[in-house]
Amino acid sequence: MAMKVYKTHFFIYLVISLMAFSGLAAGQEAAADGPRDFFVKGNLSYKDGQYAQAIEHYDKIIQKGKVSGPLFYNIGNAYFKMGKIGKAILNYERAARFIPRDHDLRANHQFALSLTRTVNKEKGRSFFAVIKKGVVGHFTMNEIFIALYLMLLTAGLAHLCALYFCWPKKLFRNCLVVLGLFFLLFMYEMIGRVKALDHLSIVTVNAHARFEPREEATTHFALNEGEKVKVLREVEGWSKIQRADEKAGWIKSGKIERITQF
Amino acid sequence: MKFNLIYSLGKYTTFQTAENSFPENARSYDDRREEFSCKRQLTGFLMALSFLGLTCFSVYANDINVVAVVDRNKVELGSAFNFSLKIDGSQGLEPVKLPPIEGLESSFIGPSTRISIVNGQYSKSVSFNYNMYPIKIGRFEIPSLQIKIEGDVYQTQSIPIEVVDPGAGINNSQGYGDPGQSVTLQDKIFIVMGSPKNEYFINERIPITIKLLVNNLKVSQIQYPQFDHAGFTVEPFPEPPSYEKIIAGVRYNIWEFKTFVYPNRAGELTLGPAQLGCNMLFKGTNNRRRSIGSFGSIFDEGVFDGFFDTYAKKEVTLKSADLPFTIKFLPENGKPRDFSGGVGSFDFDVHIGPEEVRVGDPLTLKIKVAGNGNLKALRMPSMASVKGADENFKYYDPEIAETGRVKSLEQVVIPMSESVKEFPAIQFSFFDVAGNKYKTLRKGPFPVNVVPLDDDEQLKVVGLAPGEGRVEVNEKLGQDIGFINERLGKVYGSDFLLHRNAGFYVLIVLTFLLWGGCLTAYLITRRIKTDVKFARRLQAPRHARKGLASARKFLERDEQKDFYDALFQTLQKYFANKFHIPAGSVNIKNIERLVKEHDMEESLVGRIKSVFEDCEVVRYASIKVDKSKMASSFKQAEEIIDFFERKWR
Repeated sequence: MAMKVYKTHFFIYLVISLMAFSGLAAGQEAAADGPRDFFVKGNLSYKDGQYAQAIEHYDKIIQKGKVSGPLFYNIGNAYFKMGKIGKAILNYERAARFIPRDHDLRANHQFALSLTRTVNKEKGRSFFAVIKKGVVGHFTMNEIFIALYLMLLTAGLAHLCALYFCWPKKLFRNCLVVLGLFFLLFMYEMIGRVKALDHLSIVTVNAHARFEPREEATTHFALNEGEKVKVLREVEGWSKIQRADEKAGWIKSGKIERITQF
Repeated sequence: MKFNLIYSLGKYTTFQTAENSFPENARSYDDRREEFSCKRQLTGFLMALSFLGLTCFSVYANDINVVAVVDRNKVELGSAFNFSLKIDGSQGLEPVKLPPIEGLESSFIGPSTRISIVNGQYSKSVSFNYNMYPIKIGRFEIPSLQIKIEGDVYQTQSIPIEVVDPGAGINNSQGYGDPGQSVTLQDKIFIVMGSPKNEYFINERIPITIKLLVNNLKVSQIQYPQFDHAGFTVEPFPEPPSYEKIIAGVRYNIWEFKTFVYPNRAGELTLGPAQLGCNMLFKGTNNRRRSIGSFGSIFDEGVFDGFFDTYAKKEVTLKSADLPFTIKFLPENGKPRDFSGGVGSFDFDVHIGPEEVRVGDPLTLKIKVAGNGNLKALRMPSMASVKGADENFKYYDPEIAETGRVKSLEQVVIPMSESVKEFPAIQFSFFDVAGNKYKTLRKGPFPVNVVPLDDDEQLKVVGLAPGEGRVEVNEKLGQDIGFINERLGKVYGSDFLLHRNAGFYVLIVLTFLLWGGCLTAYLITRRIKTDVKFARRLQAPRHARKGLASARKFLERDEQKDFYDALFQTLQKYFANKFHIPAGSVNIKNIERLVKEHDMEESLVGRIKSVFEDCEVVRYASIKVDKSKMASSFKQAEEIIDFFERKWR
């Protein structure tokens, strides 16, 4: 009997050891060309002032299908140092999708924006928009989605508690009202972000928007690098875009880059 | 005694007395003014008296009479005259709309009502007043008008009108000139738009002049002209000068609007037509003076005529012909690489200072470009295009301003080492329209003396590579971005967005199902607690299964009496729970009734009856039956319960 137990234990140890060893080996192999390796190489190039080389290293991580907030933040910094403010703002916007509450990111983003002459939509914003930005503006889309799920879960649990543990109706109703208000606010923000997700772009170089999608068309308005625009549609290398002040015009597609297309 | 009360638009304005009551020509002006003020005090009393008369006396003058009158038959072009349609003896009439009249335009002013009481006789007349504006010279006629009043049709007489040229004078019988030559208002007020030539280069400065010409008419509130300018950038109009000029023997007052436009694209473009709005002032009919009544005769003719002239205002919009242009591309031949986009004639000036700085101290580069081209489309010389600037200088974004015809650039540049001896030359290229070729202007190089820093002052400039140079940080230029992040942070795949992940939606659905399950369980539990009938019916099959299991054991052991006891009790309890009746009242008769009440098959009663009889035979008569009979009874009981569970839940 004791022999049988000993054999079983030995077999388990063997399996665990083999799994751990193979995992470690695979991890070491992956680390050699992993995202962190390119990230460190990019950082070293940045510190040496080789900003273009740093961007090349960072881009390799993206090419592997991996992204992160600090990665886009560093790419934005490298572009900024190269004097490409539009590209820098584009990557700060991308970073904000992952780390919206990062102080360095917000400071750099604001500073880069201050160097451009973008149309300022902040003026005249409604009270609701200010409240919305204050409450949900600093969350990522995933955080908002999880918050919505947790609110639903809480509402369901509160309902069951009210039934099983005979909570006072008033308490349950108040809980539901508060949750409902937050739910609507988060849902409104979520819908807005999902709608704009694939349409928001950043102007990467100063350009002119024209009345028609051709080079000889009359200029409608000027677009400054770093300006956020909404892409309405695309026709043969031209994009119809809408500026923050709701003016719409045509611009060559190469002069803008979508925030969510890496 | 005779009083005339005049109302205009229902509001009392003034009154007249009978001419024979006051021999005004025999009195002084002051006397009359005093007397006039006395009369004003009496007005209220007289009005009340007249209305009292209206109520006391029932004598009305009911004869209807329609008369068309003008204040004059001969009028100058640019003057207005008054046309009245006077209707005596009728009330509550709608204003008459005048038909189109050749050579004249009309404008309804409003009605006026006159009420008279003469020796107790009350009469009322309504006048519809119109301003008539001549639009060309000639003889015209206000046609006879037919007006329907209280079912009868009344006709006015036609009135001839003679419109003469104001230059010829109203007393000149030949004032309207040669009958073959038609002079219209459009000949006396119009606008023209022009440009020196019709062929220009893209972005070239095109002078545009829009002239308003007015001959012997009065105009006011002249607005700035507007015109279609697709494909052009337009400068705003400055204040227009005005002057007089004789053109083809005719004297015109001219307002000259000048501006410049810049074509944005090449091709056949059209500017205009230009439109200009203003108010024309037509000399009026001096109604104001006449309304004074008895005092009017003093001013009827004489030196005050011009001073007291009244004018009727009429808005007009003048339109010019459009202006076609041929816009050419700039020649590619000889185009410099650093071409600024300027088209026209330019000059530029460069200043850099101070001449002596320490390493890291800022120099200010100032460039001014002045000229007659499109400054907005002009790119200022940039540091990136200056040869040698990148190696020796650090520079910041320039500030570019435009004042009048001068565009200026101000930029901070910092020499990065003491080896810098001069600031390189700057050049500016543009297309000279007069010479029809590209021109490049060059200024510099500019000598600069860069002094090295002391050892304790040496600080590194942000963004410089190690060993590239040591310069002092200028506090004003200290703004920069924060350093890079050393940690990669949480790494996501390309499908990092949760709302595009099907797994998360599955989780949400499962959560809903869990909540629904809990809710259903609660509702069932509560019903079981509160609804006994429901609870018994729910428990009936469970109890039946237990009873049948017990009976099966007796069947296997071949214990007949216990088997039939168990079988009977199982069925009894089952039916009692199912139909919510006491167990003691379960018998064939009651079951038969309940089966009929619930519309079940009649044959079922027979099968139940058979099982019950088998049970009674064995339980009470102690008759022995074989095992196959027991098995048959057991099977029947099972089928009965199964039937009820399937058909009647």
